[in-house]
Amino acid sequence: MRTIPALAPSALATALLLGPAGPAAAAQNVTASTGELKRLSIEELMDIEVTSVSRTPETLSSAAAAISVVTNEDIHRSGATTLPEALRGVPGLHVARRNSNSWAVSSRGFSSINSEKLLVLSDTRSIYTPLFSGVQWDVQDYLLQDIERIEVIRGPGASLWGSNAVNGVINITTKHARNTQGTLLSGTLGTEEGSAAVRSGGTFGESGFFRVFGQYSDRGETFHPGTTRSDDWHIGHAGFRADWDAGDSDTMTLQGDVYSAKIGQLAPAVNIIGRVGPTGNLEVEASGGNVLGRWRRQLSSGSDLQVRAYFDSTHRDDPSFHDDLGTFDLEMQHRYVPSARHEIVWGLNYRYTDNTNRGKLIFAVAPEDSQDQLFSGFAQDQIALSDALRLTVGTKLEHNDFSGFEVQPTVRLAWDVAPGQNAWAAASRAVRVPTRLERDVAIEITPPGSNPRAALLGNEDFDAEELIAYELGYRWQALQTLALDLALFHNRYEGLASLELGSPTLDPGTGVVTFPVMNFNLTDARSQGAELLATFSPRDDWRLIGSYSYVYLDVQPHGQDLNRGAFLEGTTPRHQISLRSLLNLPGGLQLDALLRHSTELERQPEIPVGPGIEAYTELDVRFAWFASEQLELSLVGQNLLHDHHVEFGTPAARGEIERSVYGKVTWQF
Amino acid sequence: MAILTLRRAAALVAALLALAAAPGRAQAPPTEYQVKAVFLFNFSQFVDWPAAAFADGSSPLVIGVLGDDPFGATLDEIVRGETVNGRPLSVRRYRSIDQVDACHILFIDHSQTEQLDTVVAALKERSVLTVGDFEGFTRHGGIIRFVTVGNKIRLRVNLAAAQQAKLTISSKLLRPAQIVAPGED
Repeated sequence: MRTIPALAPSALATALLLGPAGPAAAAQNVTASTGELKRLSIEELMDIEVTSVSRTPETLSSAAAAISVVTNEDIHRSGATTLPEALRGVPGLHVARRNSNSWAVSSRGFSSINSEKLLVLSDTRSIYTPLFSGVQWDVQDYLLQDIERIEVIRGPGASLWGSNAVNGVINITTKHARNTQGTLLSGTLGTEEGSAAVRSGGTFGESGFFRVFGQYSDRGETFHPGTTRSDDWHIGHAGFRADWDAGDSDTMTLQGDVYSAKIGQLAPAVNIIGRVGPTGNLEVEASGGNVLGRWRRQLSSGSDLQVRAYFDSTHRDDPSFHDDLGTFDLEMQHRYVPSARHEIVWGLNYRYTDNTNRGKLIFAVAPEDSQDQLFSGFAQDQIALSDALRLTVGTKLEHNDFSGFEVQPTVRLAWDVAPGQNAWAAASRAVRVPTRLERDVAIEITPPGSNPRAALLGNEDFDAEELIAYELGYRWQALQTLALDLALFHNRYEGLASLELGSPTLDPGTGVVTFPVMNFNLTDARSQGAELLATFSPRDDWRLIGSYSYVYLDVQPHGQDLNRGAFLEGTTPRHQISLRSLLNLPGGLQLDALLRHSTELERQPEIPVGPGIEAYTELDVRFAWFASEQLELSLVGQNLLHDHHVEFGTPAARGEIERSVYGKVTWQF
Repeated sequence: MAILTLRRAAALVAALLALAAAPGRAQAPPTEYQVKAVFLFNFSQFVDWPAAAFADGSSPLVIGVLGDDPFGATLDEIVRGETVNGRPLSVRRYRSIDQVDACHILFIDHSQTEQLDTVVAALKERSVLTVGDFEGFTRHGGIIRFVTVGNKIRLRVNLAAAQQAKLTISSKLLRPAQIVAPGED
């Protein structure tokens, strides 16, 4: 690695840098030199943590599951500035932007704004909100440079990760603090967004590394001629991470974040026909923070123990409700290799959530306060049946306050057919546990005081949704320059949520007759699909990545199904295809592009009838120049093919995504 | 189009600058292949080759890279000016196994996964320390495999294959390594 001793800072960078503290640690810059490394013993070399640039991470080529990894470089070169945008092009995922601050991200069908069947973890912390069973993407802010990798596991991951990992798990891992040393300054300015970020890393003690960072992003509104409301939004975010060794065999991590955001809405979060919800301009104020600690001990060469705890607090003041959520989560995990043929991982988890939700106007949950607990344990054994065959059996057993005990087992078989060829098969059961909304919602449908009255009510007896999934996969290094990864699935769902008119009840005291509308488990479904990822590297400096996803979903309501199944069938495109090109040019230039096509959505999300959303093709292009090892200048054009286009959502809540361009400066020293 | 005002951003930048000033020694971590290159260099010190593996007493010890080269200039930088038992070290790069002439340590890139059996067969009668980092490498007759475990690089050694190649691996290298049974990975 080369060290550039002195870099003449550009005028802009100088202006940014010369605050009261003056230039930071530039003079003390030390780049890991090969000379230093050569002086280390074999043992010391083995103890060095490296930045992984594995093109195919070790576990990926042999895993008996449909896994894709989005690396730091993939994110960087995609030009994405938000997490959901960075997930475009991953086979099996449907990423659709509803408006400036809202996305539907789903795996293997069932796209909706609450993608309740997808579990999302950030450094093992769940960012799935239990109120709606989904992810509030608008507050998942990241300094994308600090993400080490994003693992996307399509299909059930419940035996390891737990409930709600029904159709997939997204696992975001940020970098070890050792890998974010020095200072990073980054600024973005464009037609739709602007942001500024600072990160500084350093050392402490004998073996400690830390970083602190802050980022502010401001994003403009989409094209929405039907309303004067705005969906522009801004978020500020600061955080830290420290990693250190405590003795020879113990490593520790402590990290945390705080954020604060203001988010515009085009339509209220909750809408009841015939009742008046919030009016005028709609703005959500959201804030939160979390702190996470992890202790890992290497017990012996084949055995390690990990204990992890976090506390997470979120506040969301929406025009329709005020929600406060506190989560405490404690987890231990032990991995050991009892013999050459077995690798066992087992663990225990406890989670406590304390939620207060005060409805405004038409929205309400009852009770407003709820404390819920989750106990779970899992065990998995990977058995080498022969040199080429590996069997994985595992299960998760959990008890939650919503649906009681849930068993989520999996059986997976991997077969190394030949060098460079790997086949796998799996059968699993996973559940999606009821949400607080499904249990506790209490919304008047008729004006208050009506008799008879109709109300959307929670159902104590609403049970978990169940999936039995069958999967097959094949990975083939077909040529030196061509790798293929194919996954097929067949899913059978039972007891999916369906909105039903329950039996009317009479309150003898008041004489009020109530017609309840509640969730029951009266819908079944089947889906099947295929996902193909092809990576072609015709030259050392040029890589092409093609991705194709097919999903067919057949929803069979056995009750009245007042609104759900019918629209979910049509909210995921049947076919998605994308082609990414990553080209390195001489002179430190990079030219990257992503071309993607999505076939039509047969139905509009949340509306059971009527036309859907048209097919679309879009193109993003990034052009970057590394002026030096420390300074990168890039120009990114997004959604270049149309002035504006629709991706998802009801007409009232969606905005059309506009063509945009931004420039970015990143300076690291 | 919505053009943003960056007034709010400007206020934040000022606040963030306080963070930027946090002192600390900045050290970029080594990359995976930087460390692997140093391992290759170390192997030349901890492995004994039979005399027949060299043309004469002063001919160089050759570290070869077969297939795509993941090291770039790093490997050349590491061996520059180094000697082992009076022999200079040199680096050569090969596109295919047919090109591999006098070579003592051969790093087989994962682009050669498909051809691994052919490569191993071609080197059968020669004292070449084969090194790789992909799945199935030792199982298919490779001698040392790099395995990345939690960002750290571990070694797995196929001793039977080393003996077959008439190579003697020092205990200094074997002690921290993991020995794999024949046919395992």
